[in-house]
Amino acid sequence: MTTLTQSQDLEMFDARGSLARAEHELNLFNSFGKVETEKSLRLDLLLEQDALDDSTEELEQLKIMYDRNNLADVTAQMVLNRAERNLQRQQISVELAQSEITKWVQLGMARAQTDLDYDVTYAKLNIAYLEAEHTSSRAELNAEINDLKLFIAELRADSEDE
Amino acid sequence: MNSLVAIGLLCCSAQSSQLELAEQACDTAIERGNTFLYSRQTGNGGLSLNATPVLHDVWANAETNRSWHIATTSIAAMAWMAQPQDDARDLRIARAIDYLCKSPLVKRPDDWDTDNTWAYVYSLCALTRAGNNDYIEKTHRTKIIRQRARVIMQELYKYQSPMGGWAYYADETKAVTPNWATSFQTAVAVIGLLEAKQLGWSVDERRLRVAIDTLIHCRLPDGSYTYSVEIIPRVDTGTGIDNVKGGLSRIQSCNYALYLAKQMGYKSPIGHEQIITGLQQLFANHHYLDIARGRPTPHEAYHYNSGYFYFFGHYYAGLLLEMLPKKEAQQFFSPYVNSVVKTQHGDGSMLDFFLDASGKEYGAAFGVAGLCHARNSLKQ
Repeated sequence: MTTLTQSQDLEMFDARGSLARAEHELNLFNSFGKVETEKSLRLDLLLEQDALDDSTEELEQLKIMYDRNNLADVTAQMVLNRAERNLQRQQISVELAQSEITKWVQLGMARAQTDLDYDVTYAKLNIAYLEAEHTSSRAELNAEINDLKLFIAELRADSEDE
Repeated sequence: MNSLVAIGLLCCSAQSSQLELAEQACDTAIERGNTFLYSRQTGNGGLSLNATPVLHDVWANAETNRSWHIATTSIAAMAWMAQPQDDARDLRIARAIDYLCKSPLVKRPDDWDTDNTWAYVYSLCALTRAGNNDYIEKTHRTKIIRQRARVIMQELYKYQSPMGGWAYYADETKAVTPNWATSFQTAVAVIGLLEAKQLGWSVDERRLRVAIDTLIHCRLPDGSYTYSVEIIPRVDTGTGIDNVKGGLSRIQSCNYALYLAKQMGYKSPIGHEQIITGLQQLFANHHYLDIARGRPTPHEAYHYNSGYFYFFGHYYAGLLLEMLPKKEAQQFFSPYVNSVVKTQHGDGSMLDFFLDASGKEYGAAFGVAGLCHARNSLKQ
């Protein structure tokens, strides 16, 4: 009985720890995680947009420099083509960064909320389940002990009769 | 009052004796440097043609080594031509110039490697100096020199980046014409082209103007020049290279090129005042070059200084001293001589960066040439 009780205490300790962690994560998310994630995604968008603006401006300057130097040759065209392709890639990066914000606001935030709520609920249910299971285990063990006691008593009575 | 006069006289006397000592040290170093360079001139007139080429995983390329060899021979010839006339030296100059005129043009070593441009810019500079040399003229070499210079200029034009200048690598684009350009190699090319123009040789004026404008574009508000020709030049903060501490040698070469341009009527921001400021910056921050000198890895010292910046910058500082009035040149003469003489080895060579085939030779050639021009500044 002692072993069973100790094992159940450990299980309950672990389950309560899981619940505490899940509730902590949920609190973090609701207090600033939700807002910070969106802010961070908006910063990513700004960085991508800045990179696009920088590349656009530098390309313009490069064109001015090449035009001024008037040493136009294949290399100049090659560098300009590469810069144009880089702009196209950068434009896609900006679009992706924008779509990350939309995805977060419309889907990700709700999904994260659901996941965290689920973790808390699951941890609570787990505790309830363990409590029920432990009660039932203890009842079963007590019943077995009582049966054994009866059986021993019967054995004793039989031996005294003989 | 009398004691003030006495102190003044003592100071003048000390300065004068310091100058005399520097002159003596300069003369001795030039002689010893000459001895070394003479010992390295081979039968064909060139300096130690790839006797021991660089065994380096990047530069183990025969044509790269030949480019440095041609450039080194050119600088040695310039060092000799900067000295007073001497019959024996005239013969050596003629042999070196003949070699530069007759050896095959250096080809591009690799798709990413355009070190051949170093051969072009320095042989052009050597040929233009030879175009002003009495012995070369007397021995009827002027025509062949002009012809060779024309061929070299044509090659050089092929490598002028659309950014306006020249550089020695093309790994940015791996195109036939590189896109990368540096201020300091552009400065050397501009000097060669301006000197060619001074001689009345045919020069592509449009390309020259673009190159001069490119140098002006590289100039930063602190008086230094960006390493590369940048679309938007800006001073590097912290330990970057694009500032005075990382650009001490570039300042001298670019200032010299732009000063020469100004003298020849081009619009240029470099005048007498800027030359003085540049030289003051060199000696006030000289420790950055001292720390870098001799280090084996390029750009490993503070502000990305490389060992091979040392003599390159000192050579152009020597040329700038020669442009100054004697009294102003004197203030820089002693520290200048000391900074070069202290590097000289027992055999007369000088070394700022280890290159098996040409390290000691180009070091001594730049060192001697710079000392000769600095010495000339006292004789105006």
